[in-house]
Amino acid sequence: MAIYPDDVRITLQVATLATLICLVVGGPLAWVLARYSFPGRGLLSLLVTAPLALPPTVVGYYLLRGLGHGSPLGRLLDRIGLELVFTWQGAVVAAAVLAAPLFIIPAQAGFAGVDQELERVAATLGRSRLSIFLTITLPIAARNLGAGVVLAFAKAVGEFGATVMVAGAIPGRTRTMAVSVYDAIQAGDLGRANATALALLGISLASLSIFAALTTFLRR
Amino acid sequence: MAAPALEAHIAHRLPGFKLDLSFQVGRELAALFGPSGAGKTLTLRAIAGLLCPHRGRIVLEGQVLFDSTSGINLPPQRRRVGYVPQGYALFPHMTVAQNIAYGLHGLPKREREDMIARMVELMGLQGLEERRPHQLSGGQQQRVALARALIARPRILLLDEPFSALDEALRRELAEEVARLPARLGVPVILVTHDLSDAFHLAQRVIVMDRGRVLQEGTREEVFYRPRNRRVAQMVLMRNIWHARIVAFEGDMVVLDWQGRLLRALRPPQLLLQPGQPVDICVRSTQVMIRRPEDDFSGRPNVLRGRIVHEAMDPEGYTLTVVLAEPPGPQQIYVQLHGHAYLRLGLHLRKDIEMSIRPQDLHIMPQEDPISFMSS
Repeated sequence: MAIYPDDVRITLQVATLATLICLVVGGPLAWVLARYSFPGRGLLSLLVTAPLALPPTVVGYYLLRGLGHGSPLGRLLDRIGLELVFTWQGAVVAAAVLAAPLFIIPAQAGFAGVDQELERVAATLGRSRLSIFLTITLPIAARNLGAGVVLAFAKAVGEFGATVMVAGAIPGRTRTMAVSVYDAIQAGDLGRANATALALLGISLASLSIFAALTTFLRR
Repeated sequence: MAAPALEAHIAHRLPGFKLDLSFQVGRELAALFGPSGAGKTLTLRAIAGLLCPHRGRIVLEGQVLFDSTSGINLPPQRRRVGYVPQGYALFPHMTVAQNIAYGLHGLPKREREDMIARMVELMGLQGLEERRPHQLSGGQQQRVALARALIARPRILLLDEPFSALDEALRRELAEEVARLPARLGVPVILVTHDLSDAFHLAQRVIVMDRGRVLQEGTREEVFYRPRNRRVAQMVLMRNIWHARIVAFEGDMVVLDWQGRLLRALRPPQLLLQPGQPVDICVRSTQVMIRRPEDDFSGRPNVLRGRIVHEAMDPEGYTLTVVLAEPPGPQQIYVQLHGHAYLRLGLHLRKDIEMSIRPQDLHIMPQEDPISFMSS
C-alpha cells in the first residue's frame, strides 16, 4: 500500500495555515518583544517559547482541555461554530502553538538586530513610520523572518504529539503524514509507513535547504 | 555671531542623568564639545525631533520646532534637519545611490536621477554608485552619509562624532571639507565631538558641555584661553591651573598670591573680585616664556625660576615639567615649546631656567563651589 494523497493534502494544508498563523500572530509578538520593555515582558517571552521545552503531548493535553466543550473557551468557540477537537482546524492550532517559538525566536532576533539609528535617520529624511518599516526594518530583518518561517513550517509538517491529542487520526479528515506513519506501523502496513516517511523526509530536507540558503548563502 | 539660526533650551531627565541647557548657534560651524556622557548626542536628537524633552523650546530659523509650554512638537519628518549619527548609519541593504536617494521621495524619476548624479559628483563618489556601504572605506562612508543628509536640503546639519572612525590623515582631509560646509550651504552645522583638536580646528563657536549642562559658550579663542572655571580649563587641556588669593588691585592689574609668590594678572572686566578672595588662575603651557641668554627679565612681572625635572616629546614639540625654586615647595609649572626653540635654548633635563608669564596670559577664574570642585 502506498502513500495516501489525503494525508499529504491535510499535512500541507495544516502546516501552511499554522505557519501563516505564526507569521500573523508571532510577527507582532516578536516585534513587541524585540523593541519594548514593559511589565510582564519576561512572562510573555517565557509563554511564547515554552512549547519548545514542554512535551508535545502535554501541550496537546492542555489544548484539548482548554479548547474542549467543557471549557469556557470551548463554549465560546461552539457559539461561533468552530469545532477544534478532532477536526483539522484543531490540528492547525496544535501545530501553530508548537511551531510558534521556532518563528518568534529568530524573528525577534532579526528585529532586535536592526540598528534603530537607521530608522532615526530615515525619519529625519522625511519618511513615514510605515514607509520606514517597509523600506528599512523589514528588509534588514527579512533573512531572519524567512528563516523563522521555514523552521516553523518544517516543525508544523512533522508535528505529532499535540496534533494526535487534539485532532486524533481520522483518515481523510485529521490524519497528517506524521500521524499516518505511526498509524501504518500500528496497522502493520509497512509499505505506507515507508512511502509516507520518505515523503516527509523529502519535505523536511527541502525546508532545511531553504533555511541553510537563507542563513548562509544569501548573507549579502 | 550673526543672528542666531538655532536657539535651543532643552531640559530632559533620564535615570541617573539630567540634561538642562541653553545655547544659540548662527550660520556657522559650532562644536558641542565635552566628554562622553555629557549629553551631546541627546541634545542632537532633541534638535532632530528624535527625542521629546520634558521641557524646553527649540527654534530653527524662526520656526518653532518644539515648545513644551504651547505643546508644539514637530515630528522629525517635518523639521528638515540633516542628521549624521556616529558611525553614519548607512542603510546596509541599499547601494550608495539608493542611500543618497532615500530622502528624495515623491519626485519625478528624471529629477531624482539628476539630483543624485549632481550630489554624487559634488561629494566625489563617482563610480561608487552601485557599491554597498560595507564595500566602502571610512571616508567614503562619511561622504555618502553627508550626501544623503544634504540632498534633502536641510536647514541645519547635525554631525555626531563624524571623525571618530577615521585615521589621522583622512581625518584632517575630511575635517577641512566639513569646515567649509556652513559657508557652502548657508546653514548652521553642529558638530558633536569629545576631541579637543577637532573642536578647535573646525569650529568658530565652541559650546562646552559636561554632565548635561553648558559650562561655557563662546568663540574658540575665548574658550581656549579664557575658560570660565577650573573644569573648562581642564577640558581644554590647560595644564597650569593653580589656587591663588587676591592681594590687591593696581590700576588694571590684579596682584595675586600663589603659594607665597606674587603674580600679576590683567584685571578681567566682567568678574567681581575682592581682596582676600580665593580664585583659580591658569596659563596655557604654550604662553610661558623661557628666558633666552640675551633677554633681560629684570623689572618684568611674573618671573619664576625653576629646574626642568621631566621632558615629554610629542609631534609638535616638547612639554617640560619645571619645579619652582623659590620659595621652596613642590609647585610645578608646565612649559610647552617647539622643537627648534628647545634646541636653540640649549635645554636639557635638570637645567635651571628662568621663566616669565605676561599678565594678559594669566587668566583668573572664580573658584567653583567646593562640592563640584571635589568631584571634578
